[in-house]
Amino acid sequence: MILQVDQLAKRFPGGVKAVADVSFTAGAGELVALVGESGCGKTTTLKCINRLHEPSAGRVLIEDEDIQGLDPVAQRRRIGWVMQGDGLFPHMSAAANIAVGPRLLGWEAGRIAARVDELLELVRLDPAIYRDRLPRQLSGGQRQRIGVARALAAGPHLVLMDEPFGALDPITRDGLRADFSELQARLKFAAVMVTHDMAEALLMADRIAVMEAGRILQYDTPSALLAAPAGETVARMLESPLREAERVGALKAGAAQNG
Amino acid sequence: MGETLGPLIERLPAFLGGHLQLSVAAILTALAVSLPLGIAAARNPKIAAPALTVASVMQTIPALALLALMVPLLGGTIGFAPAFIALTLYGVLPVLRNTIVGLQGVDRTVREAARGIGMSPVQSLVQVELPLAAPTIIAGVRTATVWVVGAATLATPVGATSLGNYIFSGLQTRSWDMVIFGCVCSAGLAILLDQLIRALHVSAEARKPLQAVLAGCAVVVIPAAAMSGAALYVSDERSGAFAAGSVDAGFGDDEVIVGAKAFTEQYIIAEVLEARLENAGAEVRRRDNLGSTVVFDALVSGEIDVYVDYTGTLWNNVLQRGAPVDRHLMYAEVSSHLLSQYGVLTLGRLGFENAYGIAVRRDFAEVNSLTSIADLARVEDLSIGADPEFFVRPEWERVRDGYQITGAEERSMDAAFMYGAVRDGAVDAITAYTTDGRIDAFDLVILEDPLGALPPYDAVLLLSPQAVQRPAIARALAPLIGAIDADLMRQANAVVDLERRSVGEGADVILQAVED
Ligand SMILES: Nc1ncnc2c1ncn2[C@@H]1O[C@H](COP(=O)(O)OP(=O)(O)OP(=O)(O)O)[C@@H](O)[C@H]1O
Ligand SMILES: [Mg+2]
Repeated sequence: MILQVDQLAKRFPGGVKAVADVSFTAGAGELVALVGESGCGKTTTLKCINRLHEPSAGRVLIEDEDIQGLDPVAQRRRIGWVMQGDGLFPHMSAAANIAVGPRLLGWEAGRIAARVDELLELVRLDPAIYRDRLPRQLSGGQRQRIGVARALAAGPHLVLMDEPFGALDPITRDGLRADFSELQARLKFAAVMVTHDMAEALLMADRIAVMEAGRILQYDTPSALLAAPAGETVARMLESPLREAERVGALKAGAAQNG
Repeated sequence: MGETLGPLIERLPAFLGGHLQLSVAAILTALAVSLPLGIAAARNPKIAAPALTVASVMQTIPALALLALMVPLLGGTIGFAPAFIALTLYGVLPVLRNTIVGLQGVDRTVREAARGIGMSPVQSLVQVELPLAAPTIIAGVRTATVWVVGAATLATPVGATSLGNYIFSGLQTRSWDMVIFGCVCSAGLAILLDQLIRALHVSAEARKPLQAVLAGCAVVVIPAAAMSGAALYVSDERSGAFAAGSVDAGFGDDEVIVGAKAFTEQYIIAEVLEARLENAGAEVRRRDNLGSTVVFDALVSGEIDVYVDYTGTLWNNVLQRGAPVDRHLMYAEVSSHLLSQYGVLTLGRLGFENAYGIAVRRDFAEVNSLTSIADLARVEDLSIGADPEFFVRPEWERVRDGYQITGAEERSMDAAFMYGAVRDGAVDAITAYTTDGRIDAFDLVILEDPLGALPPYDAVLLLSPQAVQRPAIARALAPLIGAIDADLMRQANAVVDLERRSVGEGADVILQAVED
């Protein structure tokens, strides 16, 4: 098992209980989605895993090692990290942004350059065109692709992503999701993805943790979730994408009849 | 203009070289202090608040005062050291403030990204935060550069050579082309350095290494070239001195340093001393425009070897005595005090007295029937012009209270302007220097001082303790003792102040009179 989160809790100074009793696991090639309303503790959970926050209680194991015993800086270099917003360094080119992780690990220049081009192609950006662009010379979707490429650059076994496909138009987002799932199937890393969007979680995740006020309401596979939502909140959250899909389906059927 | 520019340009290598050396050293040191401090302060408000407060206070002290304060703080050292320290302090604030503001302005999410991706705090600082704060920090460096280059012109009175030498000498001798030349050079230098730093930053940012290297070279080469120019100039002077002098005239290997305060008479006397010493085979260096208390400290510490001061000034400033005494008694007391307390030798009196005297226009004196200072008490709405130093001297207190002219309006102005001011009626009376050539020329009369409130100001030739050990110096200068009377001095002053001829020509008047 690559990631085990066991009864994790985080209480901020001042008494805010951001996360309480959160447990889930992610194996190689698996994707776990954390879903919930704004402020429910999704980002805090991710940050406890790469020690941008220190957990108040519970355990996090990465490849069966308790992170508490590891050097946080060295540990972060082994984990891919996609920030909420793109989090790119504005003064560095796309290539330099992607190269940060490998450089920190001391790869040699030739290997880094080859890796950068490989990753740009992986996220479907032509290296010849995009390699030297600064973040401000890229579209929002291109920036998020670079953000994903940067997280994967050093070949991590675990990738943490905070709303990686937010703020994108539906077509770009669909394309990026599909590309990501394909990449993950190929590279076999474990991933934790935070999202607001239940449809996205249902389509991409192996398991979904539905959160509210710092706690997990239900942790299950998409099909189990759809079949038996545990309680009203989960049911309501599942309803909206389903209702939308039904309406769109009905519209389409009507259009076909009329035409 | 070509005629007047010639002698100015001749001194440019020395003045510009000194100016550059001083400002570049101060800017670099200010950077070395304020960058690390700013980095520490950006993370720690406990450092930021006091550091910014101290730096801001430094900024509110007028640059001239900060420079002058460094001399006593350094135990009387004049020249490069006090100017360098004061200018460094002056340059710290803009860099410090902009470093703190720049680093604190880096987007939080970017800092978090650096940490989340596995950078150590130092890596995050060097690879992410400093590059992003660079435009702000560079702006601070450019501000500091312009400030320091400008303030370096004020280093002249503490004995550091700079473009301010043009400005101070020019102001005193009313050579406006000299003043303008100094201002234009220093402004040009400030703009040049500012633009070089900008070019360096722009090309570094655009990742054009060639351009960056060129700009970087320019930043280094231009000052270096100017400094070596200055060095050449100095060595030229030396070889000239060697050629003129005999091989061994008893002066030893060291040059003799002649000091001067910042007014015409002092420039002329220094020129006379220099000429006599050089004729005797000494190598001479000049330090003009020293502040009036700085110059004595410099003599005691041996930074200069010889200069001329006035008994009344020494009585007040060095002996710290109150009411003046008889002229000869004052001379005796001053010279014995200087020797016993400081090892400074009073070689003798030059023969003239340059006292403060209350002067008014002759027609003004006649209309108001004025003969003595006491008569001024009858004049309504009296206004008196004086150099800024005079109004804080004890003798002004004695004059004001002794003659009951407490209602007089005090108008501080530069000594170079006060004669014109009384002639044009802008003020009723001035505290003239009694040897000034303009007293006769502007038809001024000096009012009597029956109370003896204004002390005698015999010009005396002073030798530093080190100079006393080199008898050749005293031998070369001894013929000047008693040889310059008030008339001769007034004539020489008039050559410069009225006829607008050079200080050298003023000195020639005295040299010819002494040499027969
Ligand atoms: N550094 C902090 N100090 C104190 N409270 C915090 C801190 N960071 C987050 N919180 C609080 O913890 C709770 C969870 O925040 P978190 O950022 O994990 O929410 P989220 O689920 O990621 O929300 P969103 O979807 O809006 O990003 C919130 O109530 C937030 O105000
Ligand atoms: Mg969040």
